[in-house]
Amino acid sequence: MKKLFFTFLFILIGVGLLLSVMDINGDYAAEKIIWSINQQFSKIARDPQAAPAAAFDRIIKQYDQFIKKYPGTHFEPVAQIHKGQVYFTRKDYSNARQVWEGLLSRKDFPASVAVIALNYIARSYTIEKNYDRVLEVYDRAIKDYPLTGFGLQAPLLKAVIYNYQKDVSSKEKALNDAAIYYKELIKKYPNSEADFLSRRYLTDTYLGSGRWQEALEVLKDLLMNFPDPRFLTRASSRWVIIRINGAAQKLNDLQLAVNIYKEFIRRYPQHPLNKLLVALIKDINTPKDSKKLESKS
Amino acid sequence: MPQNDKPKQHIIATLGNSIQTLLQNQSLLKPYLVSIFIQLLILEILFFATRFPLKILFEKIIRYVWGIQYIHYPWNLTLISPALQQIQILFFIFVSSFLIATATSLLNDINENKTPKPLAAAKNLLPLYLHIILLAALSYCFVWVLYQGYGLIYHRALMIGAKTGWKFILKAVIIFGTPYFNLILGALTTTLIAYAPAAIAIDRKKILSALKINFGLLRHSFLLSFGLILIPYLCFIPILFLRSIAAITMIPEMTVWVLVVSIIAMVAIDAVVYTALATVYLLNKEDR
Repeated sequence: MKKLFFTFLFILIGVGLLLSVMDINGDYAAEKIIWSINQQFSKIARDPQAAPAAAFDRIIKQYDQFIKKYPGTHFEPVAQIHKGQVYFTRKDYSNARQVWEGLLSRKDFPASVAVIALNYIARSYTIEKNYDRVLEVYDRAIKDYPLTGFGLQAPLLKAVIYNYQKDVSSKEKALNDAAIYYKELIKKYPNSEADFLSRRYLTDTYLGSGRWQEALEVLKDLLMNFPDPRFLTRASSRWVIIRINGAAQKLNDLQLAVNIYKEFIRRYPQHPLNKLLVALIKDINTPKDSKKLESKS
Repeated sequence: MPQNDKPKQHIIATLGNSIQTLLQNQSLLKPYLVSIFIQLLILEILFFATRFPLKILFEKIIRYVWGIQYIHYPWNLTLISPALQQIQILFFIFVSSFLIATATSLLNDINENKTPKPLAAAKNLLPLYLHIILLAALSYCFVWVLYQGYGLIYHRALMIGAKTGWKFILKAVIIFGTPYFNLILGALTTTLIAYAPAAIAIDRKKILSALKINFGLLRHSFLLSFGLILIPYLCFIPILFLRSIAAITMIPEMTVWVLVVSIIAMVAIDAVVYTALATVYLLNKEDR
């Protein structure tokens, strides 16, 4: 019995040790360390004002040690982003930006990570109400990372900043410039992710300047050209439908929306979205009085 | 053996006797030790599944079934418990049931003053393997039906909107008491086929005859049998508490350690329960 017990124990410990040793240089250890630091950070981030300065310093030191231990790995930019967030949370925006700018100066990191840093930099300037610098950051995003989510959204965000400043003419100009920019991108990268996102932002550009008819046309093109569930996910379908209905309502003609939905159903009779569109058409075509009666019954 | 006289005394005495038998005859523990070993090995493999070299095999499956985040720490650890539970169903039907039958057969050897030989007992039971796994599958079906029934009650309780009063208390009891109710339901289903494994392992009966004997015995001693199973099962309650605590601690590895303790405790409980049931079966056999 004892022999069997120790044999099993030896096998279990042996297998455990062997598998641990085989993964000694793997990502697991790094994931564990960064998770632990992140946990400590999220704990103080819940109430940053109650947290002592030493707690922030300790976490920053831990991120530094981590970066030193895993330089050049895909964990390094993650740690840099988080380190910047620690400064950001303690409202030390200049140091936060310094960390993120340091990350941006490294060209070996992917654009997807760089734009996170850039986005945070923009947010920090927004909090400081330093809108000129925010606009500069958006221009950098457009120039350096044009095909990322943030890069694509940046022209529209510029209009949002002018809106904050109540600068109507600059806002209108920004919206017009954004519309031209998105149209160029649609031409340049047809049927791509950039095309899809550009059409979405172009829609918002038109909606932002009250150009309902043009918005409706873009939405119709978007629906007809991107039926693939890869693009037309549940969330993006919802996004498109809300805007089509909204634009049609602004034009006082909900039949415009019905026509778009009918055409989509005709073109793609097997599309999973059709069930919802049929229900929508039925709902739009039901007179308001009978709707009231239905809800009462 | 008088079953209905002071059943409480019988239960405690039988369970005490069962523990004593296990401690005095260590060869009886061997099948249970094998069960613990295999389950811990499975747990170890699941623990290392997202790390090199096992991730070569498991990464694609995890990505496809659960999503990419479950490859990374600490999400990978949250998968271990549900994955182990699924594997344990198959393990119970195909392996554990056979090991329990082997232990029961060894107890019969001891009762007949023969030298208990685990390997020989297992070989001897191989022709009855199909009946053993069918019985285990039937037991699982009972559990499944009861859990589904409880699931309906649970979902109904979720719909109770009351924030105070007896309705709220009822809702809280049903929702937070789920693991404890599941434990009782588990004890109940084990009771339903309590003596069938012994009938197969000791008397080499086929599944239908084993079930006939089982229900015959249960008709006279249901309470005793239920008590023999429920009392050891109640010892699992501290581990259920431990599981709840582990779920809210900041140490993700804690859940894995609780699983280790759960496996050992559950097999130990099974050992006591099935030894007690086999003892009752043998005593009844002698009476017959």
